[in-house]
Formats: sequence, C-alpha cells, structure tokens
Amino acid sequence: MNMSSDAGLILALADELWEKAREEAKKIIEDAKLKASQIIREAEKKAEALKSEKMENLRTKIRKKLYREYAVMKLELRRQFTVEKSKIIQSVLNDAIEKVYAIVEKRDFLYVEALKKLSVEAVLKLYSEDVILYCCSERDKEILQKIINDVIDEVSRKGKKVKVRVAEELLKCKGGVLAVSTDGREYYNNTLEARIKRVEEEVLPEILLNLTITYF
Amino acid sequence: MAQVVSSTDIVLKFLREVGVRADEVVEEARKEAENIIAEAKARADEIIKSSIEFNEKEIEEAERKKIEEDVEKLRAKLEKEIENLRKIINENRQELIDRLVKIMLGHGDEYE
Repeated sequence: MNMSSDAGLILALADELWEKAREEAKKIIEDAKLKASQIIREAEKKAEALKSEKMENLRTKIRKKLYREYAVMKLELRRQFTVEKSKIIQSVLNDAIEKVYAIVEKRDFLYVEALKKLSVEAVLKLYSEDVILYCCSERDKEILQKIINDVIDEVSRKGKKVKVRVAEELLKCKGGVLAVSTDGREYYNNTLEARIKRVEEEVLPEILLNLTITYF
Repeated sequence: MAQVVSSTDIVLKFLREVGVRADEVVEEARKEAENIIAEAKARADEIIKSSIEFNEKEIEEAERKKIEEDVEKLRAKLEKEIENLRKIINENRQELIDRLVKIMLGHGDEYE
C-alpha cells in the first residue's frame, strides 16, 4: 500500500463528507429562513384582514352609538329651523289676514267685488245646477242678495246655467261664502277662513318656492 | 500489554470522527433552523396580536369629529335657508302681502 496516495484519498473522502455536511446544514438554514419569511408574510396578510374587519366592526359600533347621540341634536336643529321658518312665514300671512279683515270690516266695493268672485267660483266648483249660498253675516246676506243676479250672469257667461239662492241661515265666519248643492250632496267652502287656510297650506309655500328659485 | 493499532484502524477512526463532526454540523443547523422557525412564529403571533389592538378612544374621536362636521354642515345649510327666506320676504314683503290679500279675496292669481 502506498502510504502517501492512501492518505490523500482518505483526506479527499473526509473533505467530501465534510463538504456534504456543510451543504446540508446550509440548505437546512436557508429552507428555515424561507419558511420563516413565509410565516411572517402570511401573518402580515392575516393581520391586515383581521385589522380591517375589526376596525370596521369597531367603527360601526362607534357610529351607531354616536348617531343615536347626534340624531337628537339634528332633530332639534330641524325643529328650530321649522319653528323659525314658520314664524317668518306667519308674520307675512298675519299681515295679509289683517289687511283682508280690514277690507271685510269696511264692506266697501272691494269686498262686494270679492264676495261676488268668491260666490261665482264656489258655484262653478259644484256640478249641481241648483245651489244655495251661505253667508257669514246679515250685511253679507244683504250684499249678496243685491248682487245674486250678477253672480248668476257671471256663472252663465262661464258656460253654466244655474239656479242660485241665498240661504237665510248664517255661518259663523268672517266673510266669503259656502256653496251647497240643494240636495246637500256637494259643497264648496269659499269662506275667508277656508281661503286663508288654502293660502297658508298651498299658495304661499308655492309662491315662496318660486321666489327662492328666482332669487338663488 | 500494548495494543497494536493498524493504519486501517487509524483511518477508520479518523473517518468516523469526521462523520460524527459532520453529523454535529447538520444537527446544529437543524437546531438553528428550529430556532429561526420558532422566532418567526413568535413574531407572527405578535403581528397578529398587535393588529387587533386598537385605540378605541382615538377611533371614537375621529368618528365623532366627522359627525360633528355633518351636524355643523346641516346647521349652516338651515341657517342659510332661513337667511334666504328672510331676505326674500323682506325684499318682497308688501308685494307679497298684496298678492296674498288678492288671492284670499278671490281676485285671482296665477296660483288660483
């Protein structure tokens, strides 16, 4: 046996053994590092999803709590707004009503003309051709009896032949008329109170809306 | 009595020692790998744990601020509406009253 070549062979064998072990160790560490990175990445992904979910749940919970608290505040704001708006509108309406009542009180030509128009309108609103007009005062009854033929003529000019008479009974109202068909099946309330109510509920809001659109 | 050791024995012993040492290196690597994985798992747990820890008060404050801004917007909008209504009515008051009087008395209007 050649001692020196045997020694070389043995060393080479030992080197190879050693090299393989080192390579295996290196691979084990690299694999572990890769696996560790994967674990962290997955954790980050899971954490992100959990965070979003928990955050959303928490926000929803908090919002619900706060909305309850602030809903009352918003409601109060809207209530104050409605009260304030109503005050402003009511002040105009009150001035108009005052003016109307002053005209009614005078019973001058302006009111006579008004009574005629209100009567014509009320009669025209009914389908009936036999109508009774109710007034609010003796003075109105007198006026209406004087102008009843004008009322009938005006209705007739508008294409409706009708029999109209003034009722003896009086209504409790400030002015205007209530038209009732003789058979009592239909009526049209054209008293001032009814007209004021219509103005308040329908006409004035529409006028204000149109003005607002024009202005802003 | 002295034992006679042959050169083959010496070689085998040497190779066995190298083998043992090589196994030790691999074993150390395995232990290190286990540590790496264990550390990664611990870190992953921490990441997940910290992700579900929130400062609830901070979030509430942020949400409260948003809603308060909404309320303020609503207040400003309603105040503006009132201001506009006041302006319209003030600038047209007499005309408006006359128009309403006419309508109430049946003297007609485009709304009739």
